[in-house]
Amino acid sequence: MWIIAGLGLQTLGIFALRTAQLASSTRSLRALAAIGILLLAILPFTKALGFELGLTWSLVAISLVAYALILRPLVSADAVGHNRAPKRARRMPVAPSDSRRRLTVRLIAAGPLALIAALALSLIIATKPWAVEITRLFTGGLLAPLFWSLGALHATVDSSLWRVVLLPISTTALAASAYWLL
Amino acid sequence: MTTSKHQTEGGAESSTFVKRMIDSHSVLGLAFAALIYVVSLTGALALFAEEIQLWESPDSLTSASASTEAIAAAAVNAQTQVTPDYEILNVIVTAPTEFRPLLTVRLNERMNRQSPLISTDWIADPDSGELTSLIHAPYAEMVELLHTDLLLPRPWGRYLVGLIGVAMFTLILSGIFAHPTIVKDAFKLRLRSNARMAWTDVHNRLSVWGLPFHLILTFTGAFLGIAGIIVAALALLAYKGDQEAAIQVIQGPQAILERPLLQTPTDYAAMLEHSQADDRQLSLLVANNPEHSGYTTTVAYYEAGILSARTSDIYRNDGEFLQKFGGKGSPAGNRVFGMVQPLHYGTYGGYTIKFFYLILALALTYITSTGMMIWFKRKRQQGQEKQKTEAAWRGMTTGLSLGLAFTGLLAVSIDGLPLVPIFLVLWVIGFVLVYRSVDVLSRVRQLYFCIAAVLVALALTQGFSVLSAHAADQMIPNVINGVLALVGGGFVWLGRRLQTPRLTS
Repeated sequence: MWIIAGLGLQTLGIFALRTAQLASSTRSLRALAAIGILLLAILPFTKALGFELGLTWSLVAISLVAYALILRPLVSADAVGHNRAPKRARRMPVAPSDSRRRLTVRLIAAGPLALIAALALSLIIATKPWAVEITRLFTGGLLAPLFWSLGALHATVDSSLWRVVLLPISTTALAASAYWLL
Repeated sequence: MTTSKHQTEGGAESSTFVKRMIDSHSVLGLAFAALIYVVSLTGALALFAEEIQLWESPDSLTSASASTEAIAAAAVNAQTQVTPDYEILNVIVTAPTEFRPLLTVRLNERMNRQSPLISTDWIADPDSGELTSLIHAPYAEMVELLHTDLLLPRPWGRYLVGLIGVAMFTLILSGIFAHPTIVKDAFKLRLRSNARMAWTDVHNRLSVWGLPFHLILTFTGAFLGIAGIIVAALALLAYKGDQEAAIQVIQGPQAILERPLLQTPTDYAAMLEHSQADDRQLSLLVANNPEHSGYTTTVAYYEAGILSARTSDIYRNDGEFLQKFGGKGSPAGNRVFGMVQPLHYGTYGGYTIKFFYLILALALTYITSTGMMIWFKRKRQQGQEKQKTEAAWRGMTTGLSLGLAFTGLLAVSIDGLPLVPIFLVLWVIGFVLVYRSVDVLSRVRQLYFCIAAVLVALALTQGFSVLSAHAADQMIPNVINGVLALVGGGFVWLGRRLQTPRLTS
């Protein structure tokens, strides 16, 4: 019953957000209220399932509720778009905008270099005594993919190729120094 | 004036920032799209690997539960199957669950510490623990391996999938940063606009509203994929290269090697009884080196009200209770680590959550496809049409579905076939048929109808097998057959959509 209440509140929240965007006045206030309803919708889930399970259920369920409410036109449409392009679209840049050489350097930095830097940072967290061993190991391990992702994002975004290469190398060097010094 | 200038500069900076994020999104997306598509689609199937296993072997002895005596007996029975002069690394008994109503047991053995591990899996009688048959589910195994290892040798396939997980997580981050009007555009779906914009809206709506799930899934997937690298690096640095030692640290109390061999067999039933409680559901019994009194036996169970699936009681093999490990009241790191598997495979909320995961995983697959569609449409708008690349993409995606469907039919029709090479050949055939076609969309449509026919044939073939087997009283195989027929209908619908002349997809 609580789960159904949660799903109901999520539906209401998404509907309210939609209505808020169509409103001519007090749009922000209405949007805030809608977001409030969406946050409130977490409560029935946690009431039914406990905090961990309830929060996770609500995060997964909201996607389904939103898909059901928003994507109906996609299923019923007999066409997705047309092939008449506006003139300005013809001049728009198309990624990737870099040369092949620069792109290769970026991908090397985003791949192996960022991985090594991520592992170096994670190993500092995993091995230095800031918490009980099991927490250190798990925290370090779980942060590795996050560090790697951030490194990869930087490598593919930063306009300076020098920074792209030097950041993971210097991060690794700093982490290695910290490992031996701390 | 100054304010205006700042605003302009701020606007330009913001625009450059967004442009770079879009660039990053495109670079990673284009580089990994095909692999992301494969991992996402097979991930949707792998959610049901346990059910597919049961569907594939409808003669399996099924049961909703098993007694502690049967579980204990299954462990002992598996121990007796050890190859002469080999050592047992561990015996793992898996209790029946809602998703796999089978009592199964795995024996992991090896000649010595340096030799490769040999694993044998049986289905056991849920009442007596007697080993009834070997587990034989090559199709489920192939689907799972395609998702976790891309059918490549271990550990390299696993690492590649981890890299794909990281790329997906990075794509989500760049997608968020590339979309400053994320809330404002939350409902924008301009299907009658030009094709690039229409596909962009579809891509963004599916991505934005699926965001929590996609973050969870890609992060946990990336971690599971590169966990081996993390352990290896940790072992190299902190355990003088000994990976087993590094793994043992995160599994609880260490073995005491000085202890003698056991004189009497381990009393697993007593351990299982000791670990019983109202808010617990037994999941696994793991007996490490069961002939040695210094090693440990783990009784793992699900605790009600928490997400972590790594709660266990650990015993010394001589029966001494050592400690509860993980679960309620354990250190935060342990709790969070225990959440990774359930969060990735959606095993924490029965079939409701599994169904949610299926829809969202298929959405992730479609998001990948729409991402490519945006790129193709933009190229076409700019007069640089990428017909061959688009044909290759459609060939890859259609060939994958064709390969999976046909291999499934062959797996249940003829026993002992080498499924992996067959699947790869079928995938390539599907690819070539589309890629070399003059009219790509017509060929894709034909192949969709072909896949639909194969899926319906598969449902009928296996439907008859299920009706005449032990598992006939189980819902799972019958539901899978129903779903196969429905998916077949879905392919017919998709094929008919492609026939619509106005359609740009």
